[in-house]
Amino acid sequence: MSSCCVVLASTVDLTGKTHISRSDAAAVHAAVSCRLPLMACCPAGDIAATQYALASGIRDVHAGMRQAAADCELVWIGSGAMEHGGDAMAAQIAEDLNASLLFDVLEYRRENSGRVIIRDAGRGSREVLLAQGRLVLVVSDSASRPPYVSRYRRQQSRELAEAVRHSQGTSAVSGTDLQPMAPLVSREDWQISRPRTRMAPGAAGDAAGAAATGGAADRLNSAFGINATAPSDFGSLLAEADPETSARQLLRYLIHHGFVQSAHPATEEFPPPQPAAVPVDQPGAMSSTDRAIDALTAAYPAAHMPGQLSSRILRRPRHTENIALVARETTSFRRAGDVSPLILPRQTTQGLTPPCSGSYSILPDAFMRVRRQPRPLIPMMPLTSITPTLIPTRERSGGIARRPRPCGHAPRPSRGPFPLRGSD
Amino acid sequence: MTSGEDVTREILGNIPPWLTMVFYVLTALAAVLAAAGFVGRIRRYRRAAAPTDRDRPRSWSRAFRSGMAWLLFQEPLRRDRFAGTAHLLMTYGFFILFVGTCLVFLEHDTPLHFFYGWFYLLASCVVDAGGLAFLVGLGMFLWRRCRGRGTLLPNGWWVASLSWLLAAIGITGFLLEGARISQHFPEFERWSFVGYATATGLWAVGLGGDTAPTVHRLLWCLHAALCVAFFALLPWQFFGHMVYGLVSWSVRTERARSELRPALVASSPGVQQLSEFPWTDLLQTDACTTCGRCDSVCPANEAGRPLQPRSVVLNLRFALDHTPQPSLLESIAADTLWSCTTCTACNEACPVGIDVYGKIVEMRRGRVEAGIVPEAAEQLFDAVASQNNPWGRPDTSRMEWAQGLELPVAQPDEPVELLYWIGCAGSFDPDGQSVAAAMVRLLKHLQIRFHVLGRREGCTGDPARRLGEEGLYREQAEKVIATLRSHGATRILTHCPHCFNVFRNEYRHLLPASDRDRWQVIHHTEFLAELAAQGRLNASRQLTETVTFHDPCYLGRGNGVVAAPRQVLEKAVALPIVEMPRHGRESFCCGAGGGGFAVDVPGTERIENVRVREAQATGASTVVTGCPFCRVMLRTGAQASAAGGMRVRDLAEVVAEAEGV
Repeated sequence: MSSCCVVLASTVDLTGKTHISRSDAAAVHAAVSCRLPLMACCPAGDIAATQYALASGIRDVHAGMRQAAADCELVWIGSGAMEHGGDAMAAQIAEDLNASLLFDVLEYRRENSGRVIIRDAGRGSREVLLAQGRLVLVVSDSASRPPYVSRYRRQQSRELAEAVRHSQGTSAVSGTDLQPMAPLVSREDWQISRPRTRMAPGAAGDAAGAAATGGAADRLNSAFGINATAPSDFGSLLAEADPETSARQLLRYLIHHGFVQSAHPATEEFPPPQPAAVPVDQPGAMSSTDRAIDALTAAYPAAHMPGQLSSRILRRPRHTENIALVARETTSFRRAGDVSPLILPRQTTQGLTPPCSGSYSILPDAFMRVRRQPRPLIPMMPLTSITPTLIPTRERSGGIARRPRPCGHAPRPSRGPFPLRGSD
Repeated sequence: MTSGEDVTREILGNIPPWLTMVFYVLTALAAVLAAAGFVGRIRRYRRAAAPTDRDRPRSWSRAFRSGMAWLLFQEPLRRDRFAGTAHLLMTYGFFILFVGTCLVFLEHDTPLHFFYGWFYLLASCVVDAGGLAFLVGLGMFLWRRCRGRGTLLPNGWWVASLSWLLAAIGITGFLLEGARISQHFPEFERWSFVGYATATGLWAVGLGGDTAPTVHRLLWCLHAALCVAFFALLPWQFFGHMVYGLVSWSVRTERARSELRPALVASSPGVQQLSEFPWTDLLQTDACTTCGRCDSVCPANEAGRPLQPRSVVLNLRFALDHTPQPSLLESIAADTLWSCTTCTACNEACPVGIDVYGKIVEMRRGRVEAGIVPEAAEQLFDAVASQNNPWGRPDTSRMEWAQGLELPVAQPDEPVELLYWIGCAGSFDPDGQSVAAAMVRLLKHLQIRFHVLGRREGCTGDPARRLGEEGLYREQAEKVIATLRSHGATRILTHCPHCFNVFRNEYRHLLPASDRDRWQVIHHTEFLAELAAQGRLNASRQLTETVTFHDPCYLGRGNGVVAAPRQVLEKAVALPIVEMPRHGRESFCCGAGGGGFAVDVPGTERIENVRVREAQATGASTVVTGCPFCRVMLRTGAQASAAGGMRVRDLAEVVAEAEGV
């Protein structure tokens, strides 16, 4: 029978407080949302981790990290567990199970064709993999925020956690009254709530006449001389344009932030496109698509946002690698918190060597198959189906602005006949 | 003549028996329909959760008295003078007409015989006066509605239909009476002054005399049909507020306005389904009159946040009417719930005692249990749980603010008489630190013996509780209570209204009954007022500011402390106070409550800016307040305002300056 296991452990921060890392929490909730028979493995005596697993609705919790070697189809491991069990732990578990091992996993979902895993390939890029067979997945610390586990749930599982603590190695507890928590993403609407920022005493007090009303973002804009037409109205900050203009703006955005390299990296103003001087198959050569986009870029001088300083462009990160671009096609996907379509380096998708150093992959072909042709990415959402928008950089950090609802989402259910202003 | 049995009228005269029979049958049907409606509602309430002990009406006799007082005096309605007067006229008029109709029924359908002579004349006069009052009240409402100004009612036909139906009933009633009188014009009917005037009018337009019986019969049919329809519709929609509103007010829980009700713990705290609400809450959704007073006072609504208390209640009612009932996680948007500042202005304004604040926090609790909380709230929970303060600053730095102040820190288990509770804002927030320092200087200057707990203080759990984390609140409360009990403190002084409210109203329920009145909790504004009354505050420095006082919600509206700070300002500091339009119990929130200082839902405006503008409009140069959170928010608003230059200070700081310390 296919089953699922999650390995987690608590970590201690600099102030000596014990907590569950985001990676471990995300591993637990990813495992819970798999809806397979599930067990959790925590270090013996790690009451915080045990309590967390029980509070999340896992009914079968084991004291001991290697219980995962049991016959499991899917093993989730958090970074806290890796810290506790050592770097080789995940590899050992994978070897015991004869399973594929993946690090820095961000998302997981099951589709008809197999399991789709999105992993962090570093430098802002994501890798989408299609997998079959057994899997050991080490969850990234930058995985999406898991649901909050309330103190009440933790209190309810305290006694059971104590029981696990006193047992060593064997299955110590099974069954709590707590229902498994539902995954957050499927239940939550996009929230506009955000942390409140406060002004330091005297920050703007004497700047009489320089009115800075509205939200923190508006005040920041005001401080930088950016005129937001409607304070706090983030919808007004979305610039709608035709696909060609959007593509140009997107490219400028990506070049500016160092996600891709420009053909003319040192210049702020792009010169007119030159004919390709080298054959396409030479290293560093540009494909026809590359050339077309660079031509577009060149034809479109770098527009400045109001108040934008030219030094911002000069400060952009320098590239140490010479990676050509491949994902020029109309392939993109978005997830909560992302605002720009993702473009993967060619090496990542073709050579299976993720650019992030320090991690390794065991990818037996029998279990893992990466879709290479005809597209490097699994098509999630054609770019043309997205309403072309340009979202300011400052909204990237997520949780701030209302963003367009991703395509394919069901419309928000009716909230009754009495509409709330701004609720939809 | 007036004492004779001939001074009366024929009841149901000119009405054929078959029509009377139809009327009785229809009335019975309407009664059955109404009864079915009420029974359906009662069944629905019975399926709901039972209210906690604290939410049950204390006794039915008390509930009855409360309901009668509401019916007779309508004090909550009269806060809006125009609407209150109109409603009072309508209610009294309706009641008189109802009693008049009952008298007619008793005379006609029972062996009793009393409806003649002086009694008849007086009854006619009083019923006519009642009818007139009814129509005048109704006319005031309709005039306001048609004029389109000042009315907060929604424009739904189902709201207007009640007014028009009642107006039609009242007008056809008088026309009916006029048609009856116009047949013979008996002299004694002059006592029915409105009816007689109507009869004269009908005669003048040619509907008296021979045509009067026909007109009378037609009007009787119309009037009877309208009355029957009214009774049949009584349990439904807007019509039901006449019954549900009265019951809702009667069974409401009498507690301090800002005291949060205990969590409903069936399987977990909070509610995620409508059926998890107690029946009192479901009754309140039916009781909503849609008057919109809650919306008009809601700071979140005024600031353009996606929260309108009335819509929350009406959407709950809408969901309740649906089968299957949708989950509350779907019915009420997340941002709506997180927009609330728990200022309780909606509860204060509601004329039928609906507890919107309690419902919102209950739904927040449900969301927390479902794991759906904003990231900012989650950070606050983690900060409270790990660092014992909502800012997440290291707990070890709690007393850094007091360097150089030489605070008397109580040793573990040392008995303490007066305990000065600094609170997290006083310890970690620069604005709060300034308030705490001023208060400490004052206490030392006045040679008042006090102690602080130092690093053994911790978050009371108030922000976590308002954000729906009941479990965390319990953990924090148990820790704080254990610390306080170990010192045997009898008097707790605090400058934070949130701590004050929790200590005074909410920790009591976690204590054994014998310990509940052990602590006297006092806010620093009350404490300073006491000192002023004792003549111990002698301002050595004359301040020359014009001040306005901003009442913190948890102090003024929440706990009724309104006079004390004003007494201090007027008597001890001799500062002229210019009141803002919304002050005292009707004060406007600063936006920090309910975790609002950490979780921000953007609107078209910031709440504190609205308040600062109101303060500036008074012409005062300084806003004085009694809450460190209000101080932060208002100062931020003042900095952001175009005029700028407005000072925001705490009462303790003003007094300390006046005292020269």
